[in-house]
Amino acid sequence: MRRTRIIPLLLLDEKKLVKTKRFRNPAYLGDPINAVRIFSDKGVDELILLDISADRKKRGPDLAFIERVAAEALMPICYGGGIRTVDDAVAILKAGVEKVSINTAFLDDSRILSDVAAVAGRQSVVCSIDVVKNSDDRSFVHGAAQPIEAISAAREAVHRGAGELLLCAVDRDGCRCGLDIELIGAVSEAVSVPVIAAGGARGKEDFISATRAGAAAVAVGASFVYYGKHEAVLLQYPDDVDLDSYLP
Amino acid sequence: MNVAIVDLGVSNIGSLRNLLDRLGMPHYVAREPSSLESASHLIMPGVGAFDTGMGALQASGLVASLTTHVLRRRVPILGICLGMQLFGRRSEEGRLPGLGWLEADCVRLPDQSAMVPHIGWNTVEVERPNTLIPKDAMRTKFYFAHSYHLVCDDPQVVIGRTLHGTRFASVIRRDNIIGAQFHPEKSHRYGQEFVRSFLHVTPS
Repeated sequence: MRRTRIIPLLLLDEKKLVKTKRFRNPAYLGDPINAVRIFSDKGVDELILLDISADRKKRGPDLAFIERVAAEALMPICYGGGIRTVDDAVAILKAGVEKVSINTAFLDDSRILSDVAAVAGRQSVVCSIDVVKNSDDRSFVHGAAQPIEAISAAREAVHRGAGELLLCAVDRDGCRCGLDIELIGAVSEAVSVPVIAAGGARGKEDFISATRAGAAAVAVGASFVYYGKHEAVLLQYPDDVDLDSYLP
Repeated sequence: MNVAIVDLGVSNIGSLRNLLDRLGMPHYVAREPSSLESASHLIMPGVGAFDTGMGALQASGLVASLTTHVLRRRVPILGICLGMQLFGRRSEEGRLPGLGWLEADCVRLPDQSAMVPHIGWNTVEVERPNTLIPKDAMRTKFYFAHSYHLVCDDPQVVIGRTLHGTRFASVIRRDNIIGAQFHPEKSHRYGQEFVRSFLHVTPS
């Protein structure tokens, strides 16, 4: 197995590329197709694309759009947002992405993961779990109807067939202040599948500490699309040779 | 030259078609048994569970025609990921028999020392001289996403191995039957070169 994967995490809002802070206030960044092409040219390991407007729209995924996006990528893409049924998932995979990410539908009925895995194989199924901390500093799942501890949700997701977990620390989203290493450690310890850590990653030091904590990959949002304290939009990705040199 | 793609239903043919477009290679999706006549090469990409893929293949009505073109006409065929696994006799993952073109079975990757599924970039150690993967390519890497691997009775069939829990067969070749456990269509330029090399294989 080669090194920890470093994955740009891009958010879509009505087919526009946006960036949020703490999951709020999406700011416009640019055209997603162009961004995917640029990241592909930079040789990124993978790409995660999440449509944050999908649940609101209550329409199925725009397959023609996903096909166009996938056409720009010479690397694997994980696509999520509004996937409610096995048919949704299969259609998206056929459009040219490698993996689907399921979040809300998992909270409604965790069996969606096993249903999709049964058809597409578990390596195609990512369960996305967004985590918030309560006043006692314990980690709970964001968006759940009842309080669910993050670790329990993680275990349930893997039990149901998730091939990977995408773990997002909501409070660190967009902050570029560092990852929640403790959370990453606890979840990685609890499950046997790759954990992709997201929320607050800055760069080399965070990639190294996430790896030490057990993460198989780090998903990076703000730090790969913003530059400097004034948040100028600039798509960035570290050099492959550099990553190989310092990541196990 | 014309590449026929065998669509297993839950496959990544979008990415593969894009790669072939980039190589300037005409291609089409094979829907009828007779459509395989005009193919100089065959590609069977696959993402998904064994029974789903094998079931789709059986339902396509292409198995008999494919078998004729592959075993008799010796048309070069590239199986990708699940596609490669279907060449064998069977898989631990499913109950349906495979195509049986290779004396091989699919078993689950061991998870004692490495995580399963095996997801991510990895390298291929070339075992024997071949025209598909350069032996001295230091930085060549490919993208893998699988939980099962093909174990071949005959080690001569294994061109390259990859380490993940075990050193599994990542590139296999028996005459015109070629398989890659990784996804060349999602492996940047390394994958593109691999497919380019495959397209240079002529019927034996």
